[in-house]
Amino acid sequence: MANPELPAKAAKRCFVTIGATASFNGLLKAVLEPGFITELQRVGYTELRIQYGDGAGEEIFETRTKELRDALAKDNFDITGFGFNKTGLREEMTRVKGQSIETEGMVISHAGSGSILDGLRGGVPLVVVPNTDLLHNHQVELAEILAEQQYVVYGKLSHLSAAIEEVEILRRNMRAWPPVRSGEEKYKHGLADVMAEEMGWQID
Amino acid sequence: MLDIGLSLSSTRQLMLIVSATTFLLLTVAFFRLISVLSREPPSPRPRRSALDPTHVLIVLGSGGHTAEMLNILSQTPHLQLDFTYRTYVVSSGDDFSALKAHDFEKSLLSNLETSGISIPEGTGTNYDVVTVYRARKVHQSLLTAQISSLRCLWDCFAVLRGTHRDIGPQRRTRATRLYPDLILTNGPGTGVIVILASIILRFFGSNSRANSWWQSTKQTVHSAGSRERQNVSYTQAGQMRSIFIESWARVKSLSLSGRLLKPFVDRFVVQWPQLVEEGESRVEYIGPLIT
Repeated sequence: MANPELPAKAAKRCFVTIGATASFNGLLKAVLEPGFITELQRVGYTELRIQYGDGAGEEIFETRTKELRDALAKDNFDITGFGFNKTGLREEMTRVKGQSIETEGMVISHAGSGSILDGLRGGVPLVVVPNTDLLHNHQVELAEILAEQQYVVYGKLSHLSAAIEEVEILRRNMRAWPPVRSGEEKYKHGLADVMAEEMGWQID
Repeated sequence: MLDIGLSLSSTRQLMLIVSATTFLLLTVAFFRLISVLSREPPSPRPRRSALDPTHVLIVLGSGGHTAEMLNILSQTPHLQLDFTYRTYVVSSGDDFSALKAHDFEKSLLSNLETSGISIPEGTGTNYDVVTVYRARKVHQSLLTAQISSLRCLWDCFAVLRGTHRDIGPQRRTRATRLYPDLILTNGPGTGVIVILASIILRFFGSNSRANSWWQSTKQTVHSAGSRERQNVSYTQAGQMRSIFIESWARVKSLSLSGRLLKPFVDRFVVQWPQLVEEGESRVEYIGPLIT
């Protein structure tokens, strides 16, 4: 039996999403910093793929990658990007998983709950970066609690490179999604039981 | 001197009567509102009785809220058996939510079919997706938002009363109209208006009138079929009891909709225990909901 052809070097991907509703150029700039990319390469990443959003995002992406391209070509490091994907980002996120733990990459996401859930459901190591420019920001609280419970890494814009190493630790002891119900709750079936109670039905 | 008190001018008499009546009405309205807002827990009612149609109304709104609500409800696999009729409320222009509601009904049904439970005929089609006027568009000014909220309120009355144009004609007849037993919302602006509309309707008692009429019909049908006359009227039918589910994204502070609705809903469920303050009995954490 012939062996399937293996690529010269298995890819380790980093996928970045800034979200579809609001622009988040801070995150875009942070992941295109030469220092950040050097750190990615050091940990074995071979590819950076970015969902950059609207026209302003595209401009940042184009100018920054132009500056980086020559230097990265000889390192075998790919940077690709796209604006939006109407069908959702689940596929992009699953691609990051790779074949084994050695080739498993990571997703870096804005802190919108939809994207976070996509990442958690996909079972990929996830860095959540809240947009601190937004007023009355409750995104920070969600990122904090999820990091505390070892579901994600809380990425700070000011030193995002630190998150790369933290992901390598999370990878080994990441909690599986969804959270398990302890079974000790009064309402074993969650909302269904509260609905039954409000209907006057006996809870089974 | 004594004369002055007795010979009040007619205008003053009129004013006295008007103010006394106003005072009386306000008192009555106040106590009515108290009784509408503070209700007893529901009395026992059998689940899935063939003679007892049940109606749940689910408010959907904008991508995030809709996805979260349907994800939580996907863990109630018998929703279509427990509630013989479901209404999904979406805002105008939100085709995504309408589409998701139809998909949700389809997937629930196919899961029921594969589970091998016997499914009564019409189970999979006994629902409506109704569109109400959007309460507030993004970036809409507060003044015009008031006007569009009123239009939304008007639509919500029609939805709750079962007369809305999007409700299937077979369910819109007087004999089949059914006030919701239960309203579920997780925070879109439309949900606030739906709850407000339900409180106004309950204030005027329109749901209990419609209901007693429906139940008397039901009893006649029933007693014609069997010899003994059974009581199948459940006091909580059509009572529009409400459950608010705070968004998963709210960890330490409630959303605006949550803060507005907290005093007005029957149950207030949050998804993080941090939101339950000590001595606070209205806010409940019942374990993780989203998956």
